[in-house]
Amino acid sequence: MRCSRRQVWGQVVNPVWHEITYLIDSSVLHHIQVNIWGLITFQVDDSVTQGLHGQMEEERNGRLDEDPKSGPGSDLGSDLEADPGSGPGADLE
Amino acid sequence: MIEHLTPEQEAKMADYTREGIEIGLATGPDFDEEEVLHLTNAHRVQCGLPPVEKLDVFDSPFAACRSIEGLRPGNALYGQHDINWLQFYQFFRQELGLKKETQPIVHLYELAKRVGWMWMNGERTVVTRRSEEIYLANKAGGFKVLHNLDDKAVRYRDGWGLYALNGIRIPADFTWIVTTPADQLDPEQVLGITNVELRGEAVKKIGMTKMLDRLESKVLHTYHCDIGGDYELHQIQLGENTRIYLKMTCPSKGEMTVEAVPPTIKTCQEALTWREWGTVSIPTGYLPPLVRT
Repeated sequence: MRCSRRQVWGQVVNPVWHEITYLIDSSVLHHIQVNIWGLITFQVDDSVTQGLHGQMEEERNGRLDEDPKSGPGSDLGSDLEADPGSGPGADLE
Repeated sequence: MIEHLTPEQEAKMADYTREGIEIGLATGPDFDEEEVLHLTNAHRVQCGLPPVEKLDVFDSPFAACRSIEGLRPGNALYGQHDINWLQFYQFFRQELGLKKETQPIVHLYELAKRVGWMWMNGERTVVTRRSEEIYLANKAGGFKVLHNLDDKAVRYRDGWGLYALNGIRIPADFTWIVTTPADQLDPEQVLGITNVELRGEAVKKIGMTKMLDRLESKVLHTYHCDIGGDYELHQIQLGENTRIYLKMTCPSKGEMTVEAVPPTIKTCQEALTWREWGTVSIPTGYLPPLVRT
């Protein structure tokens, strides 16, 4: 039982996306995607979210250098998975 | 099938974008834990997970990842930082009437307005507060980027955060660029930064003129281009090394930049030829541009 980003996309977001693609013309979808999702991504995701990711990655690597007990795979046992990518319909490409 | 938007719907898109950006950049560490517990449990049930009785709350995503094994940035739900795609669906929900179709993500949308990053698994729900402070600078096109000349550009309640100048995150080894007051930055140390973007930000912080003054640079040659652009060739003594820099003033924006050129260069024209061709030995010598683009 888990609820990682991948599961949320698989179980929640992608079904919503599929339904919407049947109801809205693809050119209209694209237009809204560029003007809302794209512009917010540019401002929030590209600036803040990516910055936080970079910072966490840097500090995590720093910790791995300091602590030989940690290391690749040390957090295995987690049932959480890697980021499946972002954005609506990310698995539809 | 919806094949076009009405003018009213079209006009509302900008409001959704603006509101989405506000949500994504909102600060404020406090949230109503009962309310967030209710929303996260509703989302858990949606994903087939049992509800939990309480939240594990942390002041920052870093604190959460450090404290609980298995949490990684890549597998988080990003709360307010997921607003890009959540706002996209909110537009369908509110403006195109797709209430039933978008119902599954309503809880995530409400959470985006309240919290930062989250993780959920079978046993627990980990929620982080939004940052306490966020500093931005305006850029062209009305967009903003993370920027704080003196301190962290994003700071969470526990002190964790990041430094950034004009949208460029400053790595740990270079935070001295931010934390050192401009008048105390060492120009020699700044010129030793190999990363071009970081060096550029450090030079901007000191100020180009002050930088050259404090390095006691000697002007070797000047050149005014008839169609715009002023150039100076500076010689700087750094310990035993003599360095030559071309100072350029952009004719349209007035911004100054400095670039290192080979020590054999004697004139601005030679430096400009070297920038263009990678050598000063071209048959025509320096040819100024006919127009500025």
